[in-house]
Amino acid sequence: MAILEAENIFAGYGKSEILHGVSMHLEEGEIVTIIGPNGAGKSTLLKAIMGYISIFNGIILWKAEDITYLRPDQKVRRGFGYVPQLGNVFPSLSVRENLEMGGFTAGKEATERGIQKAFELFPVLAESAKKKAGTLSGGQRQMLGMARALMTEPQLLMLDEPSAGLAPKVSEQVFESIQDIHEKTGTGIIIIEQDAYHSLRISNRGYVLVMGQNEFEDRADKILANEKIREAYLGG
Amino acid sequence: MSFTQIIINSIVRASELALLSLGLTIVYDILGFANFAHTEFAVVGVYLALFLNVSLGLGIVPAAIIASVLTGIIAIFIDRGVFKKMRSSGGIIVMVTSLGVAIALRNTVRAIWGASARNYSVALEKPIITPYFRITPLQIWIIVIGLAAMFLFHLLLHYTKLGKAMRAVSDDPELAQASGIATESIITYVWFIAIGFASVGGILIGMETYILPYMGFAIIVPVFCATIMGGIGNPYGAMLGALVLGFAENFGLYINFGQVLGIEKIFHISKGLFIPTGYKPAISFVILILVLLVRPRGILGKKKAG
Ligand SMILES: Nc1ncnc2c1ncn2[C@@H]1O[C@H](COP(=O)(O)OP(=O)(O)O)[C@@H](O)[C@H]1O
Ligand SMILES: [Mg+2]
Repeated sequence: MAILEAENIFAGYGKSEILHGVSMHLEEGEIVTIIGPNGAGKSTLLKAIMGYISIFNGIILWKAEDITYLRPDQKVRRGFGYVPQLGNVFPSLSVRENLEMGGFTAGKEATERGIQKAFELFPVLAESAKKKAGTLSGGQRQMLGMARALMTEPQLLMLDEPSAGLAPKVSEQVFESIQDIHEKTGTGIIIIEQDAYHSLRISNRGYVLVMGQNEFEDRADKILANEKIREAYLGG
Repeated sequence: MSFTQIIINSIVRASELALLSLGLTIVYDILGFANFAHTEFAVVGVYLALFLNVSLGLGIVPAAIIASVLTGIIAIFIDRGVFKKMRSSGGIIVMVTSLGVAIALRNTVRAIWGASARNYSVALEKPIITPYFRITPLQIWIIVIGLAAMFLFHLLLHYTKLGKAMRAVSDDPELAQASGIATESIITYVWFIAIGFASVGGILIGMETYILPYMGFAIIVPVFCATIMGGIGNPYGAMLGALVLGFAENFGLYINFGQVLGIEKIFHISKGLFIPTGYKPAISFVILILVLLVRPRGILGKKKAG
């Protein structure tokens, strides 16, 4: 059974509707990639699932519980993790403090353990533990953002364009980290990507979102093999 | 007045201003609006302490503590009942709302306690007199409490979970929520701390001078100037701004501008050229403008992300 189910979601900003009945689900421990053109509503979908914006209609189930209207912080307590595309770290807090904030809902000891785990997973963060997060490079910020979100040991990790603006080599490292995280924690992951090759390669399934609606969905390997989708959304 | 005396007066004034500017700046930082009711909240604390001290006969220390806690709680209720409903409309709307709250608080205080000057019932203590300066035990207390408040604030922000969460919300409220921080509960603490400190500052001013319903209005300009000068939203800026303003207000009146500008001889001003006492309140403004000309975001002002 799916751990997360978003059914027929209508949502947007203020009164303007961006999502016109989007549905998606995630099996436990699965990796799913959402692709689609710029402005399709991919980020908006994550914000709706996370609870940042008004949902006009539809329902979101988490382990069969209706959580449609919970606040983001309440969802974090239920096992959600979220790394936004922009503003993925607290710039004026140190690397260590960023991780401590990630463990805000966990106890003191759990947070300490989490920080040690994060440092093992991302040795570069251990080296810059006392540095302000605002001074990190783009790749390091992405790592810190993911490490921060992992502090609560979430069962769902949502990543909004984790490789955006990164050099190809760094982007490669980020996807290796995501795979590493998945192997070590078994958390379910939803990834949004513009450049979706990498992402689909480590995913079980994929969705194509266009103009706020589901366009297509399939197994990741089939999407990668699909000529039409490749041409339209993966740059040939 | 001796040089040492002016320095002491400046530090006393800076301590009082810091107690008020710290709260103003963190409310701005976390809630995103300039709270024009800030000093009026302090006056509520001043009069609650008066009630506890004079009407109920409590000692001034317990009266001040209880009054400041109560005022902090009142601020939380007013936030829930008034400001919270306006939050989604943006900072300007909330700021205008705070002007309304300020007027309501001031007139409520006046309606209950009257418009005439009052005093706490405290034993008059002998000042310490040296050849260079005189200082009252109360003034020593004001300096100690001011310094302690600043130190506590620093500890809060950097060594407690609440303080770090406050900085996180200040950096990025959405990311704070994504970390499981309930921003509304942080806001509750911020009000309590901000207005609690302001109340202590108000009570100390009331002890040093006298108590009036209009004292909040009298002090709002220097408090805002100190806060903006330091870089609104930055607690260390608020402390620095209070220090600069405390010194400026006190030294401003004793600087012989005739001598400084070297125009004494030209214009034959034998008594010197001083700022008239009546212009003392304007000193805050002038200093503020001078600082903002050089640093538009204040001395320690940062560009806010997002
Ligand atoms: N904060 C916002 N307020 C209003 N409209 C927004 C906001 N963020 C995004 N939008 C609009 O929502 C649409 C979808 O944006 P987004 O979800 O960011 O797309 P994607 O992530 O697929 O590129 C766009 O038309 C965009 O202009
Ligand atoms: Mg996006």
